[in-house]
Amino acid sequence: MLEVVGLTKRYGRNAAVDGLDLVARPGEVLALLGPNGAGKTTAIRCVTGLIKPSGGRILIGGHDVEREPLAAKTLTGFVPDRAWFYPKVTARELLRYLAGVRGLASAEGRMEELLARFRLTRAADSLIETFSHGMRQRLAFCAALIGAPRLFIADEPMVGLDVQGHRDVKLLFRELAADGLAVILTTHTLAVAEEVADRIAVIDRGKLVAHGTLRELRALLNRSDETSLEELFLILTEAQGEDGERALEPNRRGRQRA
Amino acid sequence: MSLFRLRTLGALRSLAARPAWLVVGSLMLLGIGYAIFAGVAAGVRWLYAYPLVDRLAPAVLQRSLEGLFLMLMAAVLFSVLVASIGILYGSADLELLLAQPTSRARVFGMKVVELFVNAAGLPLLFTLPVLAGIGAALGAGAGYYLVSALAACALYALPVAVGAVLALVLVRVAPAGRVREVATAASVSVAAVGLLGLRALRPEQLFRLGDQDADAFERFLTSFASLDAGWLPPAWAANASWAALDGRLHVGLFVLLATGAAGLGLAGLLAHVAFARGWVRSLDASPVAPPRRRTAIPPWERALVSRLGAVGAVIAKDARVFLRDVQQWSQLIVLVALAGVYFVSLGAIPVPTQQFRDVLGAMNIAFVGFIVAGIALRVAYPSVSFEGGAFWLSQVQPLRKRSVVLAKFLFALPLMLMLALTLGVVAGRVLDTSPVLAFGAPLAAALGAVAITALAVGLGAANARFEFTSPNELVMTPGAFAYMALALAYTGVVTVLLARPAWLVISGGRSAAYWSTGEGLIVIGVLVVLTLGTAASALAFGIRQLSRTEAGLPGG
Repeated sequence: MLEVVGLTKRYGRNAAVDGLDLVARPGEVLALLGPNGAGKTTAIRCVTGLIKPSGGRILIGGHDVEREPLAAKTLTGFVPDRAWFYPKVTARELLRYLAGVRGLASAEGRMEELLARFRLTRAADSLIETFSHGMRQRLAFCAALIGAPRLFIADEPMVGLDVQGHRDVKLLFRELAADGLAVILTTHTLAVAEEVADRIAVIDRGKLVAHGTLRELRALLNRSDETSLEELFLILTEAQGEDGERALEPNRRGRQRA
Repeated sequence: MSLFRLRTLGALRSLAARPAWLVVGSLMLLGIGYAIFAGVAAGVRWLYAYPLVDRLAPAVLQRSLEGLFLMLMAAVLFSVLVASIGILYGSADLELLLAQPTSRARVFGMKVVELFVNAAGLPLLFTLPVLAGIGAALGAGAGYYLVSALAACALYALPVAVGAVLALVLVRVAPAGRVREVATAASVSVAAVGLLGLRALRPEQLFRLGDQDADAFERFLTSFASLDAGWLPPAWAANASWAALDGRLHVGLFVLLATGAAGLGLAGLLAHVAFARGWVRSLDASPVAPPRRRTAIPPWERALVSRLGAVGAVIAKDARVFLRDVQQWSQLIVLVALAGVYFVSLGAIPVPTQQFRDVLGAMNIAFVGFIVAGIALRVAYPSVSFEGGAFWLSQVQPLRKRSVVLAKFLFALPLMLMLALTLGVVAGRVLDTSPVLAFGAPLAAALGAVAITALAVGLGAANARFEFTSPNELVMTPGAFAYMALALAYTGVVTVLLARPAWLVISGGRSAAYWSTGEGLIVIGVLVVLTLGTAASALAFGIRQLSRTEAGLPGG
């Protein structure tokens, strides 16, 4: 569903993303992990069309994001880490607006279903400016799903959610994957990634340093089955010296496509 | 690194980030400054050379300067209320700075300086070339320039201080979460009252005097020159500047400097105390509003979306936000006040002959363009920036930038058309102009509304700023200056194009049939082509620039 080939994003001389290759397949959850400043959010923003890549190619459902942005965006739903909306419209009005923009003739049924699913039915006719952070985040999920996307991307989706919200979102990821969607999430909560992800991609300094299932990552680093994702993550991301030289064998393999 | 150096460095880097705009903006600012300087110098020389008023000239000039100071003080007061809430109490960096081991007095001192630059910077930039023009025409010494600049700075510090104190009252008493909205409404009311106040000065009195009534003109100037408003701060500043022309220091300068410094000091102190004691709680609280009644899709929205698709959906959303957001709809108050003042003023001008009525009718074409340009600056120019932090949502949807810009244009156009046509038609009726102008003025006004709205939306899209605290910030940018320059240039060209039919009417050479003649049709054709070309170019430019924008998620 998503194919990223040699994605590069430069700001002046600095490369926030440097030749990243990535694939997200229908029916699976891909967790994109990395330390702060690794380039996760930049990569996600390139994929969603928020920023323009400096190089490389991004295909969504076979549509090039640069050349056919409308077709690519029609297939995509995106939840940012901090969701900002028009404060002076209600949740229901916002979803109707998005349905209108996407040319959905009858989205009322789906809208009600999403509002109920994310526990927003009672607040659906209140102005968004009165919403708490968690409510806005849940509304962001509704907004991302109103267009029935085939690729679902969530950037740090757990920020600001309560315990119930956490649980709902984890279940949602699995349900979406079961429905055949390709799901990508970035998170610093490694327990969530460990719980819901089918595959894990670790990026650091804009490059892919490792990828695979949890079992494959353990095997890659010669660790036992008891080794947690947190330990694997720290090994992978601390393995790079301050001078940027890569010290681990898996890192070379990580440059291959995920 | 000191706080001041840190902020200066940040400002310089922001400017350096867009070098092309910096160069264009600076050149434009210099050009406008020079034009003001040269115009004022020429005007002062003319006044001093006028045979009847040479002995009255200094007093007339001094009173005029007082009037200018008064008007610009009101402009500062207009913008300072919202700015002071954002800068003194709502700055994102305030809590970080206060958490550092630095004195609170320094933090709030810097914030007051920031507020002064934000609110009084532009009026000051306008005042300085005026003062320089007066000095150059009257051969002033170096001391004059220093004293008059100091007097102007101190004068504008007063409304900044008053605004800051009023802001404190607002953050104490305004309903929770509504402080900025109340402040915007109050600011706009100040502007509307200011307009009505200017109207109360009855500027049409000047038109009542002509060459045939030299005695009356002299009497008017004498009474104008003897107006005594010495108790008002603008008079202190004018007196201080005038004394400096003769190389003297006037006591008004010291009074101004003392009150200005004390006012700013008081503003900083109050902000300091208010913040420390948690008096600004109404900024933090979330507004509690009852849920709206659940409704089906209204027919107008359904019709818009079914006929215009994504463009219609954006228009429907913008209509809702416009009617609910006080920052947007309150601009209409200024619009109504401005239009009302214009009509009343036109009606008050004595127009004894048809010829004179037609002269005014021809001038009306330029005035309407100017008014429409001014209102579009506040209504249409910020329309893309009003997307604010929610712009990311448009970017990730299958929505063309073309649709966004077109929707903003189509939403603003009916409002601007209605205004322009009203000004064109009603002004023609009030003045009872000849049929040629009675048709030409509304035609020019309608076409002007199309071109000027497109210029405003296009340049506003090209210079969109999604992180702003007040619409006032958006209209005081290089992009907004560029828009005003282009809108006025368009109005100038239209006025020149209509100068010939107007001249034919004034000289009594043409009847109502002019517009059906070959020449009349050519003038209409050129007007239409000019308008459509301007509108299409401006919108295309806005779409192209907006497509390159990578803004969207605040803080990202």
